[in-house]
Amino acid sequence: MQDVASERGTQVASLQYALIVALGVAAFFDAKALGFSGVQALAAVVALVALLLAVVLVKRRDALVALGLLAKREAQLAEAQEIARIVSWEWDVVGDAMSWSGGLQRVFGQDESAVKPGYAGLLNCVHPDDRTAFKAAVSGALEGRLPFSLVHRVVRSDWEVRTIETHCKVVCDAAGTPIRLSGSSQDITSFQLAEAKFRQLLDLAPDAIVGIGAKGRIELINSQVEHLFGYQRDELIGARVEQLVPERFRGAHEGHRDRYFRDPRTRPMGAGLELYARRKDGTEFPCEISLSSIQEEKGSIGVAAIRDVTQRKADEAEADRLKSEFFGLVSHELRTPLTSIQGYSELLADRERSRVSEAGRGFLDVIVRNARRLDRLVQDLLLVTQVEAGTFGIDVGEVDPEKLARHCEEEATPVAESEGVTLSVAAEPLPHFAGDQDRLAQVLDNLVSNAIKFSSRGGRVEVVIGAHRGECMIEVSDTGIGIPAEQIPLLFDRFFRSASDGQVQGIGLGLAITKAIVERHWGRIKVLSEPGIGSTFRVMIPMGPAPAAQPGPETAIEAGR
Amino acid sequence: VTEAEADNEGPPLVLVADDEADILDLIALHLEADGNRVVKARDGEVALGLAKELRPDVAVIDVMMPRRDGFSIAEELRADDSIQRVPVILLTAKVQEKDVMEGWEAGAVEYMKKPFDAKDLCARVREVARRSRAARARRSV
Repeated sequence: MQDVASERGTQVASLQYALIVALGVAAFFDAKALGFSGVQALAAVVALVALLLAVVLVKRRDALVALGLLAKREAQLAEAQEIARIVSWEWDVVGDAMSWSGGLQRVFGQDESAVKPGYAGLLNCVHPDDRTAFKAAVSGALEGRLPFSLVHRVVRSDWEVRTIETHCKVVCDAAGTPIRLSGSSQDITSFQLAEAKFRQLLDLAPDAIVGIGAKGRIELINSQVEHLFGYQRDELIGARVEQLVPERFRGAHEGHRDRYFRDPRTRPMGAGLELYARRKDGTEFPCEISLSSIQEEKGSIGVAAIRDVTQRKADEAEADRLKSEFFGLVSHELRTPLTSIQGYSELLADRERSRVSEAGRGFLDVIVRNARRLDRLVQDLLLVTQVEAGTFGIDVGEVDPEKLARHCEEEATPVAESEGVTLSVAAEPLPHFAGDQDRLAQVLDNLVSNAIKFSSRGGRVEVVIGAHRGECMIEVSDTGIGIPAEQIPLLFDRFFRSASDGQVQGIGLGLAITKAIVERHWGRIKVLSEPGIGSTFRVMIPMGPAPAAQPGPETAIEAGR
Repeated sequence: VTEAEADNEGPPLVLVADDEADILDLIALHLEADGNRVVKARDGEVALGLAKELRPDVAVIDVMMPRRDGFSIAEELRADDSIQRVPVILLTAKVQEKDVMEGWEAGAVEYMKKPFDAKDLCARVREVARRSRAARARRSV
């Protein structure tokens, strides 16, 4: 290339000298015609020629410097092409001549001297299986005078096959006839391998993965999507992602999608909601979806990883059923021996008390007390099972708030005394209302026994039953250790036990049951607590009118028999 | 098993059925101490046979028993339309809501849960026996 340029430079310079000499000769004769002496004319012409020569020589130097820069730039381009594994070429359509930039060896793996001249040489570099496509692209481009891009393979002289991307454009003469095809070919084997690796990784993921552009069109899927949704890849690429969403959610989904693209953080989709996806055949399945985004040249792509949770849901339901069944069985099996222990120890404590020694009576009381505790525990376990199975119901009758207070005082006073806690119970006179007296007594028992449990000696537990805005308000306050704020939302979960109550007995069912009973009464329970100062549990129960007396067993016998 | 026949007079006759001997004895002890005559059975078939034969004032029956369960005994006794029908108190460790419902449907007049409170049991037996005798007296007129 450098040679061509300097050659052209030399040609230009020779022409300039010839012109100067011609001008000089012309000037010499013109000067003589104007009456200057031959010597004078010669001197003037020599001076003029010298001046012109000087100008041309200076210009020539500039040109030579410029030619040096051009050569340097061309060398840089060649180097860049080499690094990027690009070869550019030009095919003179009319004369069937190929010219190559330096990368032929590097990109096509061929030595220029070994390549056939003309188009046949270019075609020979292309992998035999891709030649038809290559020829079609070239003839299409010549016919339509349009540029083309084609991914094809080449076979290098060492038989290595590489993947090449060729971009090509057609150059036409003034009449619009194609005269040249200028192209550049880049070795994209490593990009393609990276792409293949990416695809393989995508297909290895256990979840169905869908990539979505900002307009909601599917741009990317892995093979799990095809299995899970029953579509072929071609049916989905370019389709709206809502095609995978059940119809009833589609409208809302578009809005969510737009919002996600405005702030594409990695997060689970539809937190706390049951999500469903739609297969090609219209059936649906429950799923879990996590969202993230990847940055692309065209903008970000939202990526959804979709997991079918049908089996897991079924397993969970089955586990729940088995658990309920097991709890039912265990409770029955525990109750039978418990009946004997409790029954006989009570018999002994009642009827044979006088014949048992004082120490023996103490032992008996321990047995009786603990048998009752075990009984309560078994009852609680069963109750929680019912709550979870949704079969827990209350016997709605008449609730007497003052009776609740009296019952609570009778039950809790002995415990409070033995724990060294002061208990005060106060009840406003209130109308009777509809509800389950025994269950509400249980609520009060649970709250008060917790309050006593978490109070230290010398502490105070206050129970207040009153009315507030037409609802019955039951408040149990203590001066106990209090509950850390972060534990309050967990309090009513079954089996919840505070990390700090390792020494306190119980399996953490009391508050779960309390909440279930309160909710069955359309009520609410609230906790106010300050660690180190104490806690207040406040229960609000709507006071519906007490129902008429329920038909008793008398009626049942007379009517039913 | 005593050969006592219910005669609507004297101490009430109570049939107690439970496959757990300890519990059977416990119930009998309490009911006898409360002034009842007690007949005991340890399986469902025997219990049903004794109920038909002796016509006790009350039957206190466990639910889960060999050969015949308490629900089926209650149903059988309800279906008997002779004048001396036997009211059934089911006393059981089966305490889930659905069990209680089944008990009422079978025709039990009381459904009591184990472990039981002795005073409560005695009071209910007394009450059911009283009403049972009153009903029999009315029907025989």
